[in-house]
Amino acid sequence: MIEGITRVSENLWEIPTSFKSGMRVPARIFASEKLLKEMDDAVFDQLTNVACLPGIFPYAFCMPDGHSGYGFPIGGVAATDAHDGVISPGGIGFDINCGMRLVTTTLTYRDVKPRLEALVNRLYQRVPAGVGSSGFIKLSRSEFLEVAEQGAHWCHRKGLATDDDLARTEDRGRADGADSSRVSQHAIERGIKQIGTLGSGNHYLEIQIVKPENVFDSRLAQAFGLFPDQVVVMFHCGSRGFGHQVASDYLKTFLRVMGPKYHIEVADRELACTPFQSPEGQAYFAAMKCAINMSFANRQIILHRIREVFSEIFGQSPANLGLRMVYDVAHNTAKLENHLIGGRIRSLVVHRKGATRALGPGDPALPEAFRSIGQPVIIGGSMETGSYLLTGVESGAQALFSSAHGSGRTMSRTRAKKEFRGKDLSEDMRRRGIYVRSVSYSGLAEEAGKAYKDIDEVAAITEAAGLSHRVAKFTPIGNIKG
Amino acid sequence: MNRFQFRDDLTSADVAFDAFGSTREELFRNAAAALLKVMLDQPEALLEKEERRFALRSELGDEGEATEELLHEFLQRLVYYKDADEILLAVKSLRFEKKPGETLLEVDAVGEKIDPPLKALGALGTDVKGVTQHHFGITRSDSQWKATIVLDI
Repeated sequence: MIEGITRVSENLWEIPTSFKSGMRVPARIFASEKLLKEMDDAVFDQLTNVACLPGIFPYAFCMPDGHSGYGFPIGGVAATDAHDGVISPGGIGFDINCGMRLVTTTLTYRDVKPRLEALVNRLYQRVPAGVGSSGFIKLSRSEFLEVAEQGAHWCHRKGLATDDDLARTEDRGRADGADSSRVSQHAIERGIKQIGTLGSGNHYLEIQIVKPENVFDSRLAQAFGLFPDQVVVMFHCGSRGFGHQVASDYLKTFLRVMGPKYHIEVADRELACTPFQSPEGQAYFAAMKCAINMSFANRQIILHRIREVFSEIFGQSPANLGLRMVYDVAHNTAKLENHLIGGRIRSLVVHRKGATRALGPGDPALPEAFRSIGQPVIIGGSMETGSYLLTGVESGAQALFSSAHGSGRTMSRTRAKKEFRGKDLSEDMRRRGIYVRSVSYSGLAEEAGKAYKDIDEVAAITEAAGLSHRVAKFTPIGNIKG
Repeated sequence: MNRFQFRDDLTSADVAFDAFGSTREELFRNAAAALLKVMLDQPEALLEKEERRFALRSELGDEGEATEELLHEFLQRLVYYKDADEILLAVKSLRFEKKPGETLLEVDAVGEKIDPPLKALGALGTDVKGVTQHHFGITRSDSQWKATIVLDI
């Protein structure tokens, strides 16, 4: 526990501005005492550096799954004033709009179990994953730029998305204001072949079941189309090389102009920033939106392929199989949002890095299906432990309606590869009823469940802290990893 | 001297390593080897079927800063080829040249397509999305160059 941290309430801690010279606001961490003690010192150092950013308001936040990142901690939320604050690529992350999508089916575990291996094997063949994987949709340069500006709407025009898919995607699958002229040729060349690919690392496509004992709120579960023993699909991926290059390009630009032009100093190069209203800040915002859109399209196209595979394996149309989206949520973004704080509406650039937006019931930005119940929030766990569906809640206002996104690592990839053997892990998981296909055994070892925090604790504390409300936990039975 | 050494302590979500060299050229070559090792479990399986020649330049006046900038760009370029051309590359040769107002780096890299050959071998490792600025830096003692690099996975 760092010196100077105070407990505001059971699951909320505060580091005062006196902790570090330059802090403009306090830092607030949502965590149990146990989760707080598991956070490495770099989390606190990074979070208090974030608290020094010009225009930050009202706090630098850290979610219960917080762990150290680059500049910003992962699980970090920081809002800056839209008029005189900054924008920082480090506050979004390199994998812009890395996010989660949850899809229901009308199938039960009993329906799927006899064909589970065939299903996973076919998904493994049909959804590209791993190093250098390229997508099955070949785009010209102009088409790719359309995708970058239109996101999932491009998919809809091409018959790869339904109206319902768009309605159930955050921001309807398109960040308005994307400008493809703001992205580099290198970024385009890196991304053009990657539409419809899963990637690698902690990205995955998982077949899961809803065990009756894992339904926390049966009313909300029903509202989301969940039922006991149901099979659902969840996948996690982002903007691939495209988003990464956008972030890298603008980090380089910001490092060059930040000091000489805007007289801004930051404690960490990865916190490089410019005024949001500056030409560079606006250019990055427009380019970032291209990456957001590419990622929405990426997940939409993967869903299209998932529907095709399910239809092939089970011999019915996707509609008959009930392959319907619950929601698609982003966890590495910056959004221009209005928040009521201290009786005043503030226009803020809300950076969420490894953190999810979690709008509460009644928010007009929610699709009609969720307006009375709150925004779905998806927290992904490891391939061995499961994932969660939650909803946004009214008390989420305390964190600008933000929530956790995952369980966070406790062990480095290098160490995980020493401790675990991918082949053994795969066989062990199979004995436990989880059939996994991975492009790389070493990559699989890196993703061992023991390398991650306890997802149940993260989800429970996310609820106890008043950030989101648990609806159901999903148990993995099949997994594809890159 | 080790060519490179992976580190446990700098990152949990991504991959960090130190690369070493008795010369600047050797340092760059070994950093590229470490990057390749992350993406290809069996780098010895890489055949020389594709070639990429490229030149990078730094206009930074300080030699140390220029070298750091070039190392970052060099590794990023290898990641770029992985995505844009779907090939993995090892360094065949590289050469620095100091010119008025700039430092040049000329690289000749060889390798092969990822899919199908390398994927079919089961030789692939973990995808690298980029080279971060996190802890990035080069230090130099009398007999050794050392670079610390964190790769975003």
